[in-house]
Amino acid sequence: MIDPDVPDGLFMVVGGRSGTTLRLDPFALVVTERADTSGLSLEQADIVRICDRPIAPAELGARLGIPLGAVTILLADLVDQGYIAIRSADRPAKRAASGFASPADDRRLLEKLRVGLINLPV
Amino acid sequence: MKILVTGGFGVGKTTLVGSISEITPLTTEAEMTQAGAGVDEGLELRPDKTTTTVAFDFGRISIDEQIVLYLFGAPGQKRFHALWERLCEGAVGAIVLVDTRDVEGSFAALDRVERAGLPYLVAHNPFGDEAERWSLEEIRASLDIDAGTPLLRCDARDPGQVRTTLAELVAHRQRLLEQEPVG
Repeated sequence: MIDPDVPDGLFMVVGGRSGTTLRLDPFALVVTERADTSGLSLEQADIVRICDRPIAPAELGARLGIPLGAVTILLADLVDQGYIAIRSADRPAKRAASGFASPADDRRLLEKLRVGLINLPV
Repeated sequence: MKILVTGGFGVGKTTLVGSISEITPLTTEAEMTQAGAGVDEGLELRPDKTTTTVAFDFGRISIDEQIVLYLFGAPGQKRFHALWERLCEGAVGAIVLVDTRDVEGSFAALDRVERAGLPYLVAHNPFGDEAERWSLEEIRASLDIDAGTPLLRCDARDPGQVRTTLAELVAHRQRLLEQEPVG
């Protein structure tokens, strides 16, 4: 866990980098593909463990106490190395097989969501 | 999947998210450049004074193994525009929470969602006796809400009402898809 108010700590976490080409939806779901954490930094190993169940980068950031910008950089590396996969709403190419540009256009998913909400125990 | 909850300052966004989320609403921080020039620069981490930190809170509802719904209260200020765009991508739609004591804030929130092109419904969070003072028809007229946009009351503290409001928004999106298939 790092203190987000200390820039030096963050600087270390992301290896001094300031950006990535990964354009990440904060509410896309990220999930672990490879659970072997040897050789990873502490923060990266944490991410790989937490992403055992699908989780949004925003929630990941909140749980680790790392700002979203830094989470994005860490995730970009993990994606490149095959540890993490992103199930994103804004990746039409990946979703082309199902024929929908976005899960919000998927009628079957919408219906499941609506029924699920109605039946939600409160 | 995700649903956006927006509205003026202090309208009850966090309350609404908190009353139905299975996790305590979490706050995450996104580093934004003040200029916010390019899309990718929006979330760039720069350990210098050109960044400002924004916080937005969110909750989660697991529908089944396949569907996780994230609700997020979106900050509305102009300089968070890049974050807004990203939050809107692939969202089911938005709940615009309005407070009849803050018409101006409600207008601003409606305007923002309109411009984002996101399907939305308007929910009146009745503080005090505002529900008796304002009928839904009067609210629709005074906020100039389109006849096709659902408008209902939703006490943000009541999980049952929040659940109904969320389901209504999904139904609204479904109706729009039937009328005009996207893509």
